[in-house]
Amino acid sequence: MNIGTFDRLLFAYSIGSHILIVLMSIGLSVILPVLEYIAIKYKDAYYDILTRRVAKALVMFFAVGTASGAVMAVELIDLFPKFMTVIAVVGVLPFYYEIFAFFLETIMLVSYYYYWDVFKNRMHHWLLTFGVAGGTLGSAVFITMINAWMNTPNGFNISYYEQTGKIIDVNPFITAMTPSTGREIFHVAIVTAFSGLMVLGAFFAYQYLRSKTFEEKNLWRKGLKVTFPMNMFLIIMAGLSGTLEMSGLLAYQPEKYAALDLNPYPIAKDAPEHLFGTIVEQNGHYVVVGGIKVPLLQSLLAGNGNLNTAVPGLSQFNPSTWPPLAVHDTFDLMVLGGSLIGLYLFVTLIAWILKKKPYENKGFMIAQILFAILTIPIYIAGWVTDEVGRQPWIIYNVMTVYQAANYSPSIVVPGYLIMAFYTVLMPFSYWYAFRLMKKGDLRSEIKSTGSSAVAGR
Amino acid sequence: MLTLFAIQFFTTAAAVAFLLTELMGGVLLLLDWKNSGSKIMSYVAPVWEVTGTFLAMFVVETDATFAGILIPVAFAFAALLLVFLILFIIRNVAIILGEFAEKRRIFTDRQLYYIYVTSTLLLSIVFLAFVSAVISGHGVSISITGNPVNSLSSVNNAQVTFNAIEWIAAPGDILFIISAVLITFGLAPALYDVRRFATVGIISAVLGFVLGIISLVQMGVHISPIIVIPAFIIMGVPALYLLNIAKNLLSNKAVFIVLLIISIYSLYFTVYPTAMGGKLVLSQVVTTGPMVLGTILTTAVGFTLLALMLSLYVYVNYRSSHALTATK
Repeated sequence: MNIGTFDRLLFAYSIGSHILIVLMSIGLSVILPVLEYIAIKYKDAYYDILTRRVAKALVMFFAVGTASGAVMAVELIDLFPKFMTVIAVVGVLPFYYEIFAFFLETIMLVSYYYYWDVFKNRMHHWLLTFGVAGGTLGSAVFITMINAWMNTPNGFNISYYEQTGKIIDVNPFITAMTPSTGREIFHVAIVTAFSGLMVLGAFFAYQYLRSKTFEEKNLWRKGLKVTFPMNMFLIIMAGLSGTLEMSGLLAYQPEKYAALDLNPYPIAKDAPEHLFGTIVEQNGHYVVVGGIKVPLLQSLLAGNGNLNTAVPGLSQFNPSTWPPLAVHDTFDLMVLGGSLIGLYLFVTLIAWILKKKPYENKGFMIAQILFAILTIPIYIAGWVTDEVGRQPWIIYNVMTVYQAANYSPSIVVPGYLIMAFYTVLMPFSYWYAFRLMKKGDLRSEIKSTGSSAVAGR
Repeated sequence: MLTLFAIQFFTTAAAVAFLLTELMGGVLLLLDWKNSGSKIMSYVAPVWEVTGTFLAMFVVETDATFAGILIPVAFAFAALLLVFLILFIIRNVAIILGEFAEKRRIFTDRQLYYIYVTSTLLLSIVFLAFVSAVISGHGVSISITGNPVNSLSSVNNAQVTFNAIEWIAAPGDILFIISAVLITFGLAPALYDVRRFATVGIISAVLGFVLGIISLVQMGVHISPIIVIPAFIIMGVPALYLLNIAKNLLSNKAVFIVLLIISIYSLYFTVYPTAMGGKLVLSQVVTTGPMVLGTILTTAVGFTLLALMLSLYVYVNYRSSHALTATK
């Protein structure tokens, strides 16, 4: 294997593993303020116990996430040094901001978890959860800024760089505000928190189904009463932010848009949507084969209801810069899967409104587990769509991945070791974090919290 | 003075200071788990996460500061960096598992902490090996034409290679690592208030400092009068502790870390204005242009926020120790 290809494989494997940790860190950190607030407000021992257990799992994910985040930082330098050189001169500030967000998360989480009993006023302790969530989300936001910059680079004279290889007219402050930054941050933050909370909800549902005692069932049921509404809200936001993201691609990354929607040629109006399928060349023309064609749908979505909306086609671009067309399939998988999960949550909402208590219903519990399992490949598919959809570029229209890569063979052996580590570390981290959350003698914990447990509330 | 390099060196000093305080605890854990284990872990358990964040900051600032030489350095030290990462993962996983260890499963908490200490020690040695190569230039071959920052499209005008065998064979570098380990052990009893190692501690610190000076001379570093600062801290702290003077102050973790940062930062002039034994002129490779202003502004705002956050941490830590003392 070419060393440049190995670099890509190693980084894809590492970051694919890393985001599985990140989604749990973000999911747990955003639910923490809600759980603790309910525990304090209603003096509910069950929510207090849930808060403590979720915090413990968060510390676990944070520990692995810190190490994994450092791996990402060093891998970027080690595997793609030329890319990081340009980043250092033009766009390193979001990385630097991210470090301070990371400090916020670290110091708040350490103060929150290790010094729990130091805070006599519980509301002061609760305030720290905002620091934890703010730091965790902040880290994700700043890293996404870098990714948005890779998709729509700015902050230096690109045409001069392409001609001479020299960087001039640098404005480091605007690299955090590219045309795609806001949309991408909105979508990434929402879907990451959503995915984490879906998995947490599945854990609660699984434990509920396995529980033998009233106390245990009550504990996990209460957890689900929080994850269900949060997920319902987040899936609506995910749909909205996803639509915005696509309209951004249409305007600023038409080549990627054309690949995602499998358009061989530009279409002036009434563009159909292709579900799956691929493009082949026949008699000098590109045609879409396979899949399902839905008339008008693409123009309808792209134009927010306006069928006269024109969409770009791949023929407008040099075939050597087309991304792999598999991104169309990962895109469809993401949209269809997300829609299915949305449908499930909508049915749950209806059941809730009709007072059917979905958080106590076995069928809903099993569905929660199955849809959470589906969430993971959908979430990964979303990132694959974004990253592979930018190929062959690492910085869109500026630098290819192969131009940026490190071709030193000394990377290979430690690289395989890192992949082996991740292969063991990821499932182990999930298993161990879930174990930490379910571990404990619930009855004695209820007694020791000192709150009045309101059974069945 | 190169502002970006000064900032980067400060972050390096802070990261190394936090790492050393952990390592000091680690050494004592290995030697005196029974008597000092819980006392040491009450500090190490929360702070290792802060150390990790400082190390991440070090990586980002190094990238921002040395844009011009990043490519060849990444080529030359690729394997060393990845080994460092593997050790870093083991360290984090071992300590978190140790914290939540259950009774007699696969590993006990003690065994997990030993794995944590060993991996932290090894990654510190890898880090020190890198630092010594940066100071001495032993094993490093470097060739630069022009200013690499101005020609980022090509790696041809800056080439670096690292030969580990040459580095080991050269005088000074291994001694530098040994002296760092001795100094770490020498300071540990004062930081963690473990009296039974106080006498050995002062001997170790003095020996470590002397060997450190010898190693720096062998590495070709000009010893400036500023060396008095680390000398006073490295030998003075264990001596005062042995004599039972200002014991509470010396065992105060925040004060100790500040002293360590000052001590490490005073080594700034061992490398400035050239590194790698004079082979690398820093002004040639340190990032220039508008990014300097961006970094300085971010540093000013960020470090102010960081100081506030660390103050909160020191405050809750103080309240916790105070409550613990009151209970006793």
